[in-house]
Parts: sequence; structure tokens; C-alpha cells
Amino acid sequence: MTTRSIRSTITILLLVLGLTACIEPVSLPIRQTERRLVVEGLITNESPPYPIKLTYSGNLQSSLLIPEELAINGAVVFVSDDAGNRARLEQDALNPAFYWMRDPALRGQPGRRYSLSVQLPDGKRYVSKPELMTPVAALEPLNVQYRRQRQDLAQSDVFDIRVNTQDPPTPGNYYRWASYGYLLRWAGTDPLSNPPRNSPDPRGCGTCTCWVPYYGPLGEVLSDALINGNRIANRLVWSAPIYAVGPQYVEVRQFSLTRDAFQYWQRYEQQSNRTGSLFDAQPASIEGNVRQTGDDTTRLALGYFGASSVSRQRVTIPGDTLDYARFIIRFGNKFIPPGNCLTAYPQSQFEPPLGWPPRR
Amino acid sequence: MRFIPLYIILITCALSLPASAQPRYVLRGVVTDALTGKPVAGASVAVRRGPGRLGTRTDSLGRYRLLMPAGFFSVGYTSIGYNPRVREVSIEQDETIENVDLKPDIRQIDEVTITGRTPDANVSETQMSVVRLDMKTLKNIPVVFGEVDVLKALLLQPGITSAGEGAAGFNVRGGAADQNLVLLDGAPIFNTSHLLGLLSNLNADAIQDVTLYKGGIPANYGGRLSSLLLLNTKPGNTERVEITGGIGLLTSRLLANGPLTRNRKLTFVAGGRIAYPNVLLRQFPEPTRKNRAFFYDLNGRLTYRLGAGSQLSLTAYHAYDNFKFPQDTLFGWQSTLATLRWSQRLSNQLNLNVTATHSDYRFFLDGLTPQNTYRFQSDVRQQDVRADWIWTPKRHRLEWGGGFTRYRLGPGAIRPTGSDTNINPQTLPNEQAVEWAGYVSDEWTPNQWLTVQAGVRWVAFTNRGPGVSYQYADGQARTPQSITDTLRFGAGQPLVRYGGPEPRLILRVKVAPHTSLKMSYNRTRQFLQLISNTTSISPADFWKLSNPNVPPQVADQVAVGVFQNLKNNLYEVSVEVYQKRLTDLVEYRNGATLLLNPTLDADLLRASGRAYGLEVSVQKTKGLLTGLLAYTYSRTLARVNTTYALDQINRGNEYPATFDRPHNLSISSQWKWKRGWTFGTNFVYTSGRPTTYPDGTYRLNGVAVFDFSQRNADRLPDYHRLDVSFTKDGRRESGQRRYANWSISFYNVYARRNAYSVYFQRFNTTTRSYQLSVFGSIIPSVSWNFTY
Repeated sequence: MTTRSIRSTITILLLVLGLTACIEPVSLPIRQTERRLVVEGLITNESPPYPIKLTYSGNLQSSLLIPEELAINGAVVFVSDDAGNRARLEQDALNPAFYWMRDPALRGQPGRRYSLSVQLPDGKRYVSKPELMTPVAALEPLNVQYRRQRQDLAQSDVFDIRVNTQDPPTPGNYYRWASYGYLLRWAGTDPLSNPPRNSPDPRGCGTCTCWVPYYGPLGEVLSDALINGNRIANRLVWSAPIYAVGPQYVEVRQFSLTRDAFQYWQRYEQQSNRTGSLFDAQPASIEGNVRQTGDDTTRLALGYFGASSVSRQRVTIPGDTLDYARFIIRFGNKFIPPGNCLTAYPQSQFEPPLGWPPRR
Repeated sequence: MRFIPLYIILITCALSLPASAQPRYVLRGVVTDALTGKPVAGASVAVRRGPGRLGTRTDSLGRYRLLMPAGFFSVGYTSIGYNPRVREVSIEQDETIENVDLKPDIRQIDEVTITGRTPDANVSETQMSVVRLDMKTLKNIPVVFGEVDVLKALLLQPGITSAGEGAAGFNVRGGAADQNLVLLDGAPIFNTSHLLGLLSNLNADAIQDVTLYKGGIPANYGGRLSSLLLLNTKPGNTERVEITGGIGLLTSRLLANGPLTRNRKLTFVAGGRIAYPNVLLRQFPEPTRKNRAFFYDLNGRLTYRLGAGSQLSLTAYHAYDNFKFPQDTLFGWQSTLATLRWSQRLSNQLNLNVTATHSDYRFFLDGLTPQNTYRFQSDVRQQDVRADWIWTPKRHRLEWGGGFTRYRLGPGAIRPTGSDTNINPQTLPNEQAVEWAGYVSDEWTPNQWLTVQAGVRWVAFTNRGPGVSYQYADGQARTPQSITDTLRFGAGQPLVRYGGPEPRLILRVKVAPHTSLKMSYNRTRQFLQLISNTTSISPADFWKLSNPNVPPQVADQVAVGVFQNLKNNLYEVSVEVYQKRLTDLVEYRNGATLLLNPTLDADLLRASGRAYGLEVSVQKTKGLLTGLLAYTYSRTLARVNTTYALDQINRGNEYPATFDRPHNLSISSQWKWKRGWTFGTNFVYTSGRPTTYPDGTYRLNGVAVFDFSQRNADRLPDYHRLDVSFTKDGRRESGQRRYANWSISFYNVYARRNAYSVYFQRFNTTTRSYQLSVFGSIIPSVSWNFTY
């Protein structure tokens, strides 16, 4: 917390005192080093299947989520626990780089340790350090607050999503929060305005309003070192943008972490939040708990194989407290791309998502 | 006007006499100083108009004598340090006497008063790798925001760099910013920055002299690896009370000094600076305009002259800074220093100095987020007592002495503030240590060609209880889990002892009348390190003492140099090469938790480093145009090599330190114009700072993440900048008591957008890089200073 605020302070201070300090794009050659294994996987106390993703680092230039040359197919992957259970993972036939753990005997249990072993198609073997699944405190209902942003920064207003939970009296608890939501979006026109001229559907637009999945920050982590045994109250985990007036659906998951996993996510946060200030932490690879075995044990994989207990909370934000007309006056077409939802938002859906509490 | 009739007469004379006439007449006289009436020796007397080229110089009594033909002439009288004069002279009799007085050139007044050192000190002094700042020229160097700054001026000298524009601290010959011992009247300053490093907290008005040792550190000092910066407060004017002050865009200053008693035995200096950066901050839109910053510093000194060769002085210094981020945090830091010194001449050859110092540095941070309000604090305190003897029999200068130092550090404490907060109080135990040091050093000049300065400093450091020392399991990386035993120590019990001899040696061989060859070696140890894992030091960094798991840092430096003065000491030239080896430097495990970490030792790694370089300096110290050209080529490399993969940095390979900037050129000049104006310029060119660009990308949970696998493998674009300043000295004659000076500076004249840093962001499928520049355009500033 300390270094982060000082970091932003110095940047702002320098910008202010520099009067005409500036940020400008520059073109720099990006070096390429040898590719490295990236492991992404999480065993939880919810029922399987659990996906494990294996890729290489490299040059992400194609629009594909996982470029073909970076996906690892044909690896032999096992998950095992300290009770002697062991399961081989099946590779997803359609999604390259994804491997599924479907064995119900390996459903995560707090107190157990889990490990991953991987044999890559080129014969290299990697193993994870056994990861302990620790219990997690229950997440209490979410707090949502509307917050206006500064208009001159061309930002949307937001709903601040805040969590509350009770830290247990034992020290050494670590938390991570991950949030996502189905946020309302418009395309082509807002539904109450007249449809644009030359519209294919002059009586109104059936494909102009939809819900689009958005993800909050990944590395929202906290250690109970300073607050052990107290409440974690009103901690901001996501500022969900408001692009349209209407109901929004948000889910927050609270994960337990081991100390190692907490440090991994801290490194993740430190490294991905580099702002270019001299108060940034020194740059380094974000390595986790997976390392090569055999001749070169100093080679570490990127990413982390985790085991976490989960507690979830969902909230439906009615959104009708916002003044429709004022919203349109304020933002105009800023958040309304041309076309319709199918063209503007490939992942959108026209119906609200299922499983959320009813609108209040 | 009175020459006109003569002129008419003489024209006829000149016409009547052919130009080929032989010199038959004598022009003679005396040239004197108009103010003092003393003769001016060596003044040039030259006939400017007329037949041939006639001229001479005055002798030691200011007399001159010229043989001339008859006629009407214009004769010029010039001498360095005086305004030239021209006399119209008619030669019509055997002997014409023309006595002339010259007025001292006001532009060169300073030069009479500046130096306590001999003109050939560069060659004749034993010391090498030393930078002495001339406080008078300092005021003519262009500066940013009009603030005369001792530390920023040092950056123009060879071998001294900083991590970036506006960065706190400075780096000497490849040393980290915490490896500089900064002593104000003998007391250490732990943080030298105001406004997070944009300015230094040393008030140039209050400081009499500045000496920086980059190598060949004298045996009487130790405790930091890389350099020694000695700053001395003005002792105070004995004649009358003098008040100086100034107003700038960022700060205002006031300083008074003078005698306090009738017998003029007790003199004082008191002054300070206060800043108003909020005026600037308020000019900006939300939310920046809600930020608040403030700082001030105070200097004071009392000097009591007990008798011939005996003096007692007391110095006090206090600096305070804070910065507030609305709704979020307020933080601040302050330094407090005090020194009591007794100097006594025991005999013509023996002097004694007894000094007691106290230095205290505190940092605080107030968290203002609702339900998480707290105050975090860290502090460091150092107290020294020392005695130094200097004995100067013929051909020797023998120095010996010793001292005792006590350290007490509070590495961090947090306590909840307000009634509704979830923060638990936590305090890390204090660290304390004592240090004994003794030294002896002799400078021996067996003949005029050779000087040897050999010394040794012996230091014994003890980290003392109460305290806790963790023992870690062998054969695995240190983590809190690998702690096998916790040793508890009671008050005063030693946790660990370190120390040993630190040899210091300098050789000077005068190889020609104006050339000498010097060589130095020194070893230094550092028991107190700044814990900081960022590119530049920040006020939130805290200090840590060496303990059983963190051994002291050690450096060995060898330097060789050639020193030559040209044209009667007009130009001082030096070329030095150095090599340095550093061991047990402190590095940090990736993602280390530094603040409030009870097992911090487990997150610290040991690094080794090496540095080498070549420094060339050409300096012109006299005349109307003075200046310095400095070029440095230097490298600084570090390495962390452990057997544990997660503990390695850069996979155990050597990497450039963040302040490794190989090429470094600076040219600064001050050119004195008429009417008290001085035109100053700085040109600076340095290689870009090493930085790490991403060398791979991968996706984690759908988000593109950069991989920074090779530390400092890239470099920012090169840095260069030109500054100019115009300074008007309001004095019309020397000895004028009341006057005002104006200073107008233009920083970064050609508005180069020098890269301060580069960072990267992903946009869909592309990686974009952005360059941040601190000063993106020319920065004008003006300041007004007065002396009363």
C-alpha cells in the first residue's frame, strides 16, 4: 500500500512540477528470448472438472486467445494428492492447451496437499511443489456503490464492488478476490432513442442491447498480517464500468491462498502494475511453484498451480436508479459502437445470465 | 576635452616630423590600484595608435618605462582583474610622466575571495578523486526552478550520476545511493531530499564549503562504501551582521550571520528555507490540485572563539517534508542534526578536535482510507563522539584519533488511528549497535617529488540486544519456513560482531613541475544499509543494521591518475582510472515484502558487484570565462548467485546496476560579462539508464502478461540537455555591503523530451511502449536574492 501510493505520488508530482511533462508512445524492438512453460491451474473445493492450461510464453500477436504455436498439446499431465490419489488429465479435444481433471476422488479438500506433474511433448518434465489447500472464510453479501468518475478523463462511471468478511483469529490467512460480471451494453443505438436512419430494423432494435462478460483485476490479494482476527470491511475489489443503464450481474469469488501463492500474486501485482516510475519494484519474471526436474532444476515455469477454497457471492445491480436521460446527455454515443451486439461484442448474450438473485 | 587644443598642436607636429623618426623620448609612470593605492605589477602598457608596436610591462613596484618617438598617442593600460584604461598622451619633451590608476574589475571580485587553496593544488595536493564545489560559482550555474542545489551541481562532476531526473540521492563511481556518507559539520544526514528528491535539503546559502571524496577516503572517516561528502556550515561573519535572502518560484530563503557580542568572539548563523509548492499544485485540474506538499529546513550555528587557536562551535539543523494525497495517504520525513565541536591548538604543530554529533531521521505515513486508518513510522538515530589529533612536524602530517558511535533503529511500527479502523498495532523490535573506531594516518613528504599518505582505520561493530536472531536450515533457500531456531538476546548482549582494518593509501609522485602521478587504494565497510527495492530511493525506505544473517558490505577501490596544470595553472587537467570490488551488497528476492516484515533477512539476498571507469576533467578556474569539461566512461555490474533457483536474479548472471550509465559528458561554463552579468551554461550528455523491457508475453486467466526475464538488459534512450542562466550581480564595487542579485534560468533549452522511463501496455493484440519524460519542455525560472 505504501509503495504504491508513493509511486503514484512521485509520478503525479513530477508531471505537475514538470509542467509540460509528457507521456508519448515510442516504438521499441521487443526482444524475444527462449520460450518458457506457463502453467495455469487451480484445484478448488468445488466439484471437478478443473481445467489446467499449458502454454508457452512468446509473442502474442495474433488475435487468438492462445496462438497455435504457443499452445502445448500432447502433454502427459497428472494431478495427485497426499492421500495417494492420482489422476491423469484429459486434453480438451476442441480447446488447445486445456487439460481437464475430472476425477471426483480428487475433489479439493481443505487440509490436503495437491501437486501437478507435467511431461511435455519434447520430453521435459515439470513438477509443482505440493500445494496445501487452506480453508476460506465465508464471503458476506457484496456492497455496491455508484461512483461518478471525472468526465474529462473520458472514463465511464463505475459501480464499486466491495467485499466484507471476517478474518479468523489464527494468523497466516491470505486472500485473493476475483470478480467478473455480465454488464449491459448497447450497440448501434440506445433502446429509447429513435433507431438510426437506414436501420435494417426500423421499428426498434432487437439486437442492440445485450450483456457482455467483463473481468475484474486478477491479483487482488491481502494478507492478514496487519488485521489478523478483525473484519475485512468494505474492501474494494472491482470498479465495474457502467456503459449502459440497466441491470448488471456481478460475481465475486474469495479464494484462500498459501503464503507462497500469496507471494506469487504479489509479484504478479508488482510486475503488472509497472507505471514507469522510479518507485516501481525491480522487474523480474513472475515464477511460481512449478519447476523442471531432471538435469536442470533451476528452470522455473511461469504461472502457478494453486489449491484454494472458494466462497462466492453474486449480486444483481438494478441500475434503474440511474437517470436514463442524464446518462445519454452525459455520454452520448461514447459507449455505443456502431452495428449491433453480434458484431460489436462477439461474446455477448441477449438474455440475462442465469443463477443470479432476482432484481430487487 | 582638455586634449583638444593639444591635439591641434600635435597634428601639426606630427606632420612636420616624418614617421621614421627614431625613438628619442621617454614615457614613464606608475600603475596603481585605484582602491588601495598599491602598485599593480605585471600590468601591460601598450601604444595602441601610432608608429610600430610599442609596449612593456610594469615591474614589481608598478613602474614602467617606454622609449617613444615624439607625437600624439593612445596608450592602453591593462591587467587581469582590473578594468582597462586608455590615456591619450602627447610626447613632445625628453620625458613624459603618466601615472595611471586602475579600478578593480567588479566581475572578478569573487576570484580574489574564493580560494583557500593554492593555485596548483590539483598537482601539489596529495589527495585525488576529490571534488570541491566553489560556492560562488554555484550561484552562476543554471538550475531548475531557480533553486541553487549542492547535490545537483555535483552531478556535473566526473564520476557522479543519479538514477534519473528528479531522483533522490546520487551515485558515486558505481555505488548505490545509500553508500554515500553525507556529513553536515560532522553529523550524518540520512535523507538528502526535499519533494521526494526533486531538490536537496541542503541550503546552499548556509554552506561554506563542499568536498566530495570519490576515492582515497581519509582514514578518519568510514561507515559508507562509496563516497564521503563533507559539508560545513558558515562560521559567521565577525565584522557585522549580514542578512541574505531570496525569493524563488518554489521557496524563499533568509539567513543572518554576524557577531553576537561586542568583542566579536561569539558569532552566529541562523536561517532557513520555506517552500510553497501548493501554489504550483493549485494551478492544476482535479485531482492533482488537491495534493498538498510542504517542506522547510533550518540551519543554525554558534561559534565561540575562546582565544588564539581555540574555538567552540554548536551546529543545529532540521529539515521537514510532507506530501498529502487526498483521501488516501499523508506522508512525511524529517531530519534533525546537532554537532558540538571543540577545536584547540595545543602547540604550533599540534591540534585537537573533539566532536559530538547527534542525527535523527524519521519517516511517517498516515493511511487515511476509511476503516483502514493507521500511522506507520520508522526511524534511525546515530550518535557519535570522537577526538582527532593533527600533528604537523616537518615533512609530516600525522593524524590520529578515534570515536564511538551508537545506533538505534526503529525499522517499522504501525498503529491504528481513529476509532473505526481494522488495523492491528504491530511494532518490529528496535535494532541497536555500537561501533568503536580508531585510526592513524601519516602524510610524509620526504622530498618535493614524493608524498606518501598511509593510514589505517580499525573498526569494531557490535549489534547488541535486546534482539532476536533467526537460524535457517542449511541446504535450502531462506524462508520463514526454513527457520530452525530463534535465538533471543537480552539487553546489551552481542548478537554478532564485525569489523577489522581498513587500509587507506595514497602516493603522489611529481613527475614534472606541473604534472603529478597519484595512486590510491582504500577499503571501506558499511554496517548500515538502506532497504529499498526500487530504482530510485524513496523516503519510505528504511535502514537496517548488519546482523548475524546480513554481514556488512565491503568495498575495495584502486585508482590511478595523472594531474597536470597548464599555462600557469590556468587549466587544471586530470585523468583518473579506478576499479572497485564490492561484496555482500544487499539485494531482494523477487516480490520481497520489505515493510513490517519480522523475518526480513529471509527476503534479502547477497550480491557482489564490480565497477570500473575512466574520468577526464579539464577545468579553467581563472579569467572571465571559467568552466569545467568532464567526461566519464564507467561500468557498474552486479551479480546474485545462489544455488537456489528462486533466489537468483537474472539466473545468476551478471547484470548492469540501475545507475550504470557508461558515457557521461558534462560541459559547464560561466562567462562574466560587463555590468555584473554572468552567462552560465550546462550541457549534459549521458547514456540512458538500464531498464528491463519485456522479452515474452503469455496469457494468464485471459489477461496478457509480460515476462521480464533479463534484468536491466535494455537501456533508455540517451539523455542530453542544455541549460543557460543569466545572473546579475548587483555589486558595483568590491566591498559593497548591500546589493541584490537576479538569476534567470532556462532549463532544458532545446526542450528535449528525455526519457525518464519506458513502460508497456497491451492493446488487444499489440504491445505498445510509452516513454515518460519529466521535463518535456524548457523550464524557465527566476529568483531574486539580496544581501544586506
